[in-house]
Amino acid sequence: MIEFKNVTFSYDKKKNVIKDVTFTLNDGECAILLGPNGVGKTTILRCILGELKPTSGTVLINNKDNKGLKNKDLSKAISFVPQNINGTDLTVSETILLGRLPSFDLFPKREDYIALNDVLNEFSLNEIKDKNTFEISGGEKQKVAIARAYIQNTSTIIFDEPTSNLDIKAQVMIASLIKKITKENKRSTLISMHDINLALSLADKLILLKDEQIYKITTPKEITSEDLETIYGIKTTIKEIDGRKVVIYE
Amino acid sequence: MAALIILFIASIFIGTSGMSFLDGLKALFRIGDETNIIIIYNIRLPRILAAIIAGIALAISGTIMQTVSNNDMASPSTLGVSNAAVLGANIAIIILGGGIISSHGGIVDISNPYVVAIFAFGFALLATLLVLGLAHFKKFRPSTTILIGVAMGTFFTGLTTIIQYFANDTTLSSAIYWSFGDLGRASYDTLLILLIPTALSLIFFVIFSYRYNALLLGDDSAKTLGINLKLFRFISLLLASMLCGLTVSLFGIIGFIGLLAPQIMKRLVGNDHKILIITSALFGAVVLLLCDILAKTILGGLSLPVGAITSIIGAPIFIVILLTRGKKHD
Repeated sequence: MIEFKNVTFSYDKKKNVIKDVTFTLNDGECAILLGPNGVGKTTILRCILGELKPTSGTVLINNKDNKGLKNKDLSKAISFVPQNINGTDLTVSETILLGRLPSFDLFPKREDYIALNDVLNEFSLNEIKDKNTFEISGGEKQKVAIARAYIQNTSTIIFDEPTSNLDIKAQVMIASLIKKITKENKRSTLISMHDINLALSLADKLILLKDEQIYKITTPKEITSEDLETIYGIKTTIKEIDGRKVVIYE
Repeated sequence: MAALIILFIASIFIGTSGMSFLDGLKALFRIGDETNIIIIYNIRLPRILAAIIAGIALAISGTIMQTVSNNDMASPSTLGVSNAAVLGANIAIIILGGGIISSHGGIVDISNPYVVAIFAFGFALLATLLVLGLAHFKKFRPSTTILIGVAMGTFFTGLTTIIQYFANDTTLSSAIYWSFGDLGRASYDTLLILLIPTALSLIFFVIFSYRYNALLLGDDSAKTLGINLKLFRFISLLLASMLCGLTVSLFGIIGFIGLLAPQIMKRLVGNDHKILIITSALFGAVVLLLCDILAKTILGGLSLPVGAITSIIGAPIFIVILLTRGKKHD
């Protein structure tokens, strides 16, 4: 569980990047941060990961203040899938195996290789397991990054815009993986995202951000076109098709 | 490994003394002419071992520098370490008179090599701590740290030039002679000084090879894998710089090994550091040993400084690598 309590952050103490932000990510929940560029989505993620220290407020990870957490402790609670996935010049297997680093510390043990095989099967990555990560597609790179975060076996996985650089097919594939992780494997996921329709299909909770603050915390069922107009400044219509809400841009 | 063994054996029998293969073989078993035995055991073997150890030191130093700084162009001398060592040596030779050149029967020598080496290493250590200290307190990114190192290197070179400008002919010759990378200065004592830190650093780098692999994922990901990035980078850069500083202090500047070994091995074996570090180390040893054989044989009876050979051979190879490098490395 992550509790983000009255967190304000500024680089120079003059202009806040986020201001008095409060929300909770419960166990097994998928929460998605929505809002235009520069609203502070990535800053929120970086505060949770301990890369940025809040100017005020606290971030609790499993009831512990993340200020006092060492990287080692953090690595056992949270795994992270970045927006830009580097090619590593390692094979897919070697890259995924790094997710077990917090467990094996120096060299992988038998159980780490067993976990690797399980994940390769579960994520259907066996065909490309020996390929260099420079040689695989953007969607496959994202899949490998998710598999690496998944094998880390943390209760929470954080995604920074996981679908932003992908084609439609890869977006659908990544969305179904995230759904599987949250719904089947009961991991908590916190995602920053631009694609509203994808967010509506994935999220249990939507955290809408405007002017560096939380405008509203809502759900896919309750979100309105007025909410979207307020945070993005665009007119939309929300329709329900086969029980799912779909946003149509005007 | 096979290449290293072949070159090792070949090097025993190659030199400028004109010793025949048979005399060399006898001397190896401590039979025959005493002078030949001294040449084999006191000159050639230390020189061969120096090539192997210095090659390993420079190669692993370059590999770690490139990974930790996330910069393929980084090399052991990137933090200005070599330039600082040269400045230290120049101060010892020119200002403190620690190394007057002497010539006996064509053999050129520095009269007080230990003082010069200590000064060179002291300055290398100082430069390393200065750059890493600045990086730590000002929270520089790795790429900025490298740029600071380059700037500091230029600064040290400027100071060296000024000191050399006011030197007399003899001390200037000594200082310039010292800066030539030359494995002929090796003795068993100096080898031990380099061997211990090289072996310990190699063990450290291999033990933490999975952490170096994790650095390839980027800082955000590496941090969430439990790595204390600042501390790990600091220790890695410190060890890599020390290896470079020690090598330069003992043998002068030997260029390109630290840049070339990781570049070539990355293309051959990939970036998995548990393999890359070992193969780069072997490659560094092979190349330096090969260059030393060339240095001893290329002009017949005259032995050239190996630092010149590594640069002359290394630079064109490096340019070819840059021109033919795969798209993935651009």
